[in-house]
Amino acid sequence: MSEVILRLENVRKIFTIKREFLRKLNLVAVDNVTLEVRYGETLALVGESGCGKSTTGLLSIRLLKPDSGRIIFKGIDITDLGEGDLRKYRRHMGIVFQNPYSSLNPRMTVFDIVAEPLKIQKLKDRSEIRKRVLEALQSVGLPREILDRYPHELSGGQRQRVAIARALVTHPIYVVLDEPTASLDVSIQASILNLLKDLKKTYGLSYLYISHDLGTVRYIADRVSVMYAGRIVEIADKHSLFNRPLHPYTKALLNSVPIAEPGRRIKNKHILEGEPPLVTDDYVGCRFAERCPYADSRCFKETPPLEEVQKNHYVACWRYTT
Amino acid sequence: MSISSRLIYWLRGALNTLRLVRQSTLAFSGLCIVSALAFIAITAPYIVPYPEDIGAIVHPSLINKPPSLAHPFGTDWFGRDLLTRCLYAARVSLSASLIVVLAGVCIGTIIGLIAGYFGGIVDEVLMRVTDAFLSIPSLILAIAIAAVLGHGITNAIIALSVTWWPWYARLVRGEVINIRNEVYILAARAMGASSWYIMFRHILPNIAGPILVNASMDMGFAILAIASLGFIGLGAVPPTPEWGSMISAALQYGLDYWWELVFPGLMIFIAVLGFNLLGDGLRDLLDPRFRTGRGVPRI
Amino acid sequence: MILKICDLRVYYFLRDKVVRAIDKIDLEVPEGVVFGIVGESGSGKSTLAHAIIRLIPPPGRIVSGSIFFRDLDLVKLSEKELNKIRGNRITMIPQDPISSFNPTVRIGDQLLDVAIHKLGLSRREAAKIIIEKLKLVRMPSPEINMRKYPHELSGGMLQRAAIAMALLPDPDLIIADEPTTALDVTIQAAILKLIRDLVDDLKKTVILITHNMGIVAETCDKIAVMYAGQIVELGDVYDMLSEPLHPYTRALIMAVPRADREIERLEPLVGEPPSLSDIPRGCRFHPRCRLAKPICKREEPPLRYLDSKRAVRCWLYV
Repeated sequence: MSEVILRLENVRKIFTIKREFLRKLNLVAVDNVTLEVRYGETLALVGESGCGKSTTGLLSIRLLKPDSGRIIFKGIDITDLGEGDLRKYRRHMGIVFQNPYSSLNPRMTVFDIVAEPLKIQKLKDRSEIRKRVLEALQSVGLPREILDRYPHELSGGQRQRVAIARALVTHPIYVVLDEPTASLDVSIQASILNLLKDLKKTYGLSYLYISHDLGTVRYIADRVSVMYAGRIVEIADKHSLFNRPLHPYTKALLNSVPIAEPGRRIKNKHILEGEPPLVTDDYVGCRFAERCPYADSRCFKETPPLEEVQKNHYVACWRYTT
Repeated sequence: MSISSRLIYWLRGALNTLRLVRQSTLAFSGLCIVSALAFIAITAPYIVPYPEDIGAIVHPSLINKPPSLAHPFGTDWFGRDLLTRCLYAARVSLSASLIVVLAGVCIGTIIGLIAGYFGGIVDEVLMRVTDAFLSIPSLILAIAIAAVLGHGITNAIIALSVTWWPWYARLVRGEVINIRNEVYILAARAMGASSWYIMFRHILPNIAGPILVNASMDMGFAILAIASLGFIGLGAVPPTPEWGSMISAALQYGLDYWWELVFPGLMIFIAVLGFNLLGDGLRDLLDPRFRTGRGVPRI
Repeated sequence: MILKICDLRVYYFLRDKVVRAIDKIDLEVPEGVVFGIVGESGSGKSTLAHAIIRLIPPPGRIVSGSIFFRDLDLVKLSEKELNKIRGNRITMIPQDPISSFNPTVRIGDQLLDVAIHKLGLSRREAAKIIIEKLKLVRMPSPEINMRKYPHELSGGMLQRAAIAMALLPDPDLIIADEPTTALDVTIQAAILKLIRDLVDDLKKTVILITHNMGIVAETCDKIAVMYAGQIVELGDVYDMLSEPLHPYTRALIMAVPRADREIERLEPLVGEPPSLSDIPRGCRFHPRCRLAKPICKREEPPLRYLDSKRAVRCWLYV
């Protein structure tokens, strides 16, 4: 097994929301998540909105602090580090957000946006900064003419390339991609995905690829983890996950994706009814039990653990545990 | 990034803004009034027809003369040229108002930034302090300060500044909360940026617009406030010309010498109107719906 | 034909330019089908949907053309006559169900409002019909959910309520503008199946506007592909998917990564869609087309029918 670059251990994140008068609700966004991103791989984190996948991404680079559990980056426990101590690890991490319209400061030029991480990392030499910025822009396929432009003068695809250049300018080794193509047109999406694939190969990057789109996941990922209502329900190699999905939710998800294949009709599909539950901190049982066609009484009482049921194929479902 | 290319970009932007200002008649007239007033305020000692009339001087032969060619605004009870005094008073009023507004903007912005960005307990404490200041009536505070420190324009400025900033603190806090959760702020945090860096590099430039609009409108109110303090005798001390105190002095003679009332009043009116028009115009300009961007609108 | 559009043009007259959002659209929608309109943002697909019910926001205007609903030309109708059709014979399912409901009024009351004021029903009749429609759209426990406020319902449930509202007047034609973009995949599948059922079981006609080729493939009977304000290809869904003719249609299908098969390398489209205020001369797709010929740069190809069902706007097929 190759070396692990990032490891989340039993990470839990709770958001407290105020409800009505003085009543509070503790919602579990991420519940006991354990996962590893290995050197040079793309681990996809798939799930529907509100399942906690983006929160997991933010936790993994310590933009959020977990309520419990540990975050180990390159063998160092960064769970409790303060912002000052974290700064020296920040240049090894990058993040690309979903919407390039809101992730770039509208009042900064492309140069300033891409140079910013370097300046924050206290790089002072102006010619060095310029060199690195140009290098980053070149690597994402942007011409140097756009250096002086502002984000609103760029197309969506170009903006996302700027955001990728910003994430890569400090030469990170681990990059969180939070739905990087979800707000782009399909004709632009493919070129961004190809770019991300190429960059990974060129710079030996490791990605945490967060998405709800199973098509892009199948295209870009090496391993896939599926999240549902804050918990990981299945982790496996891409091939075994797509060809032999085990968890009933993964199966339903795969079945729901619309595919441009002649003869595939919605009429003939089995549709998953219901919606994911709100998970409070006193929730018991499998989160998927309510919608699961196979659920029995145990599923409502006990939460199934994530277990390796085939080689490198982990599932959290009572049907597969002994 | 070369300095010259950035300069060209800025110039282009400035020209573009000017073009837009011209398209809006109101904003443009506001800008004209304000620039004219600013010009007068800066050059007053050199352009007024009778510079010696600014100070304490009496021309017995000219007392309370109605407008004439030699004295278009007439003369006052010491025989001083009213035009000279009205124009010079612009210097006093504008600079005092500017100090009040600037002080308000600076203190308010810093308090608002900190409260809005950090939130939680910091926000609670700062905003309660702000509320406390908001509840102080500025006129009464001015009277109190005058009682302790004596009369004078400086003390009027201090009194107004103390009660002026809370409005900005509230405004800025609201704006900060609006953009605190923007993704580019999160992106900056992901790079390891410190809170101060984020506040001054990312948040401040993006809320400068609304602050500017408010400051421009506020100049009008500050001018009124200075004039009010002057009127009740808590502002500029004679012989320094000041519109409010000029009106107050003229009122002692009833309406017999109307020009001594009308012209300072007219100056206040024009100054307040000018800043309000400019503020309104700026608000329209900063409204993205008013802008014609270079991209195609989303349809 | 329930809807026949001839030479429709919708332009936006901006301060310093004209945006040709829709240009020379000819389209026939037969009764009892799901008709898909596919395109990327800026292709004019949403403008087309709004043009059908004449809800183009200023500075946009229908410049020319006709829209026949059965035998009424909607373009020529007075606003009063149009209101008998709009929201009555033709209704809409919104893109974002959350913003299409008033957040301060209970869902049931909003439906009642439409039923009582637009349809002139008594309160009792209206309530009965509303429950009936909510059951039809498979809203779970409709009597309870009717009494909730929009923010208390999930996106999927709100979209069901919005569909129920669109069904209240028992319309002939329903226009669904990206009805599932704001929803999750599993919920999306349920809503699409529901839309399909409206056509199969209730014999409605639906125009489904989307950017997702997969959605049209699974839901629609006929599709039209739009690019830069024009229809570039139309035909039956099976034919279009098994043999896409226009290079853009092909690219739309080929450029999307798939969940059902392994793809080594995607072939992305070069460039970006043109700005509608600066449309290329000749064929609008030619700057991005790998197969462009000299004529494509000079002249705009006509939308040519290859047989009674299939039409394509490309010089390769002339």
